[in-house]
Amino acid sequence: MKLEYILYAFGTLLCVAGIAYLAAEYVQYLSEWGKIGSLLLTVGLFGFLGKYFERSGL
Amino acid sequence: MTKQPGRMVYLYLALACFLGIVLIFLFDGYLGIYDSLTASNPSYQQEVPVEQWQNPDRYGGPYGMSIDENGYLDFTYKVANRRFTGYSAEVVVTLTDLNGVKTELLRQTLTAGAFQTGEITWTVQGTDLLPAGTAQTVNPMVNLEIQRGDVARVISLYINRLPITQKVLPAPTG
Repeated sequence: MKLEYILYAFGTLLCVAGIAYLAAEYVQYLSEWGKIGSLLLTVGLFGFLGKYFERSGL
Repeated sequence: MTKQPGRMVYLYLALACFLGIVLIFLFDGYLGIYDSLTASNPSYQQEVPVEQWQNPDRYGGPYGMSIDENGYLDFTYKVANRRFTGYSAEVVVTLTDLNGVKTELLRQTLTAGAFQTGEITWTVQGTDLLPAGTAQTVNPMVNLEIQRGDVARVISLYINRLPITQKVLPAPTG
């Protein structure tokens, strides 16, 4: 597997882990709309990433 | 497989989604004013978490705390001001018994600078809450209301009565 894609996966994992840590530490309360928005953006994040890798020829 | 043109758009959209999540966590989940209440005595501590008041529909009715008849509780009401400007509000603490009689315990201005915490403390004695002539078998309850500006927090205080003295039965004769 190309090193480039390994680094992409590593970077994505680090970003998700970092956000999860910050959320656990500092996010006191999310409104219902905040939760729905976060969920939709998460789905969009992984969807667009998958489309990017598909178009990149992975 | 060859790289298709325009693929970078999807990467930028993914980054935009990531940034959106960060902004939601920041502006909706972190910034704002969050209050909590702690009641303690030498034996134990009770705490009303921030989530209880931020999401009351999920947790149901007023939070319940207990106080011993001959004991006391030291209350600490904290307001975390996670904003770029300072915060100041008048806090009024009242007790309401089951008959609807209100007693004002405290009226004080609470101030907190930007990204700082302000707090107010007071003490409640169990003997002060017990109405005169209450039967030993009755466990009364009062409502502690904290009014901070236009925000009202209500705590139900249950008074734990002292154990009922058992009657010593006479020894059987014959």
